[in-house]
Amino acid sequence: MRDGYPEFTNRGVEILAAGPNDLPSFKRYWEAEKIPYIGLADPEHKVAKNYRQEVNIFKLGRMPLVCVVDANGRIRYAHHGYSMSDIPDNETLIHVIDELAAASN
Amino acid sequence: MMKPGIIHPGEVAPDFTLRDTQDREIRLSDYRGKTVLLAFLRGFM
Repeated sequence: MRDGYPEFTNRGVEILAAGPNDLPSFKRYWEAEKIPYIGLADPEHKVAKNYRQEVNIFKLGRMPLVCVVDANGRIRYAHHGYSMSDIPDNETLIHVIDELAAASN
Repeated sequence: MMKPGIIHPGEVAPDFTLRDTQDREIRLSDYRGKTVLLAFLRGFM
């Protein structure tokens, strides 16, 4: 997502990334990696649970979940990763976002 | 076929407020009118 950041911002998309780390770790990581989008600490997994992010106890962790939320607050795309590295590529996400934009015009 | 127990397109995105790396309270519903790409990461060390 980071590499494609301008492609998202050019389309008026806001990127929010939540994770289970606490806020100090989040700040360190965001600063060290110079991540341009919003990073949200969810150390108690409250939000992740509401979104039913899957936890794989055999793979020792939370599986990635990527959603596209439309302008009305409705989920229009959801990708539940089946492994740590299973996240949708930017092309797929941009395609979803462009289709949404086309449909709302 | 839809897998039960997981979130699906068409559902209203559950609203939330979380603190960001710049100490701002970020609420999902503040972004109404915009498309939001929302990612839940696995965490980092």
